[in-house]
Amino acid sequence: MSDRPRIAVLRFPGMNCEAETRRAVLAAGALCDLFRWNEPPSRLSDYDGYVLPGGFSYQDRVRAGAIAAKDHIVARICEEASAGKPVLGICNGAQILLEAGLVPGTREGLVQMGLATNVMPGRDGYRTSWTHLRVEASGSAATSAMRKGDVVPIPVAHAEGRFVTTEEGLVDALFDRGQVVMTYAGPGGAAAEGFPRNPNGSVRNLAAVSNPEGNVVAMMPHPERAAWLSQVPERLEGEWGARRRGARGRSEMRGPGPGAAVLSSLVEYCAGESRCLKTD
Amino acid sequence: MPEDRLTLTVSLKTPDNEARSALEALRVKMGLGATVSGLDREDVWEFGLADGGRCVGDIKRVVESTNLFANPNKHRCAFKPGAASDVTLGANQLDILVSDRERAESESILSSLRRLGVRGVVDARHWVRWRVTLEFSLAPSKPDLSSLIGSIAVANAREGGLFCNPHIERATAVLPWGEEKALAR
Repeated sequence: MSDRPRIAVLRFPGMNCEAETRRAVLAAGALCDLFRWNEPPSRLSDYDGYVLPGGFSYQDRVRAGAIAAKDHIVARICEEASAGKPVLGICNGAQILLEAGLVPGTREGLVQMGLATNVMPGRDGYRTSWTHLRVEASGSAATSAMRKGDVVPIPVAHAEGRFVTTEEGLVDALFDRGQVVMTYAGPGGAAAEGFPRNPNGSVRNLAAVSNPEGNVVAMMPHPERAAWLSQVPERLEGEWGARRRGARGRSEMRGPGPGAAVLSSLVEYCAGESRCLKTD
Repeated sequence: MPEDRLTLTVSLKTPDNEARSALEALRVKMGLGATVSGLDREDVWEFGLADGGRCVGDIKRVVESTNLFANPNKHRCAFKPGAASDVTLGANQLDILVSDRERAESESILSSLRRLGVRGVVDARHWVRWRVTLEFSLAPSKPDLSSLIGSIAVANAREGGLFCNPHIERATAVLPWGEEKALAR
């Protein structure tokens, strides 16, 4: 038996990021399997953590994430999450977690937020770009290997990624409780002031939000697309762009990229280290 | 100035996979089973007309000659005077009208209509209409009518409905006896 944590990457019909997500989780040091939506949900209990990857589950029919959120394996994920196991939802995975009421989860079982269509000046639709994220709370399933204030560049690719809520005071409460895990920022860590640093108009630059315990995180950016230095574009501003421009040879290029810290956090969290939200 | 309403409905000529997926979700994933016997979906546009309806011909021309509202290869369009909620439903049917909470689609459509030479349209609203057919007849006296509609329509909880996330969308139910019920304001 290996003492490496075992993580399941869920695959719904229409997902398209599961293979590279699995590869990045393996590189972070975990064992990792793809888990199909129509496998017996009870088998999920064999895993220490879960990733809901990006893509278009059920072709975004009705609304992004809406149908997958009603799937029986998501009901099982809710049970495993309430037992404390970590769950990371990336992009469409984040949409599923919000639609399932797992995030922000301050009122048990209720859907408290939505991910609305991007708001961008002069255009609408799909946006794909590199963004800089500032860590607002360490200790979550996505940030346990990071410190508050760290800046990580990670790309986004979505048409509906703007965190919104009609619940008055909720966003303030999420900041107060440390459930805002990452926000959109500039390369130096200053808060994003509108588009394009904030790529979708998300309220108060929200990029990743967790449940109160920090074990379930919904994030719109794709860490698996920044898991190796070779994935970082040379033109990128900030420290990681400089590292990429200075990288020489295959071994340096195969080194970890900025998104690797998110997946390492998930693996660390599975091992039971740093399991509490910290905002200072 | 007199104002009339005109409703345009746009539906697929081919089987609607989105409606089939939603029906499957209601029946199997959400446990409603045979309670829901059918589901249809269409896009609905409602126009407010300020010129006594003289621009109706222009609107029809735009719908037929551009792809602003529909693609003639795959969509079927129908016009009807009156509001989107003025429908005749079977005793076992209800409509769920879902609209985006924030998107100013009306503004972009109005400016497109003006650019295409249509004058006299003062507002335009867009909904997705889900027509739910149940296995039994509905009546105002039916106990738990609101919870039945909620369990189908509004995703306000993990165990809630499907068609509307109330943080993103608004929804109204239209019942067979003509009553409109706001589900998510």
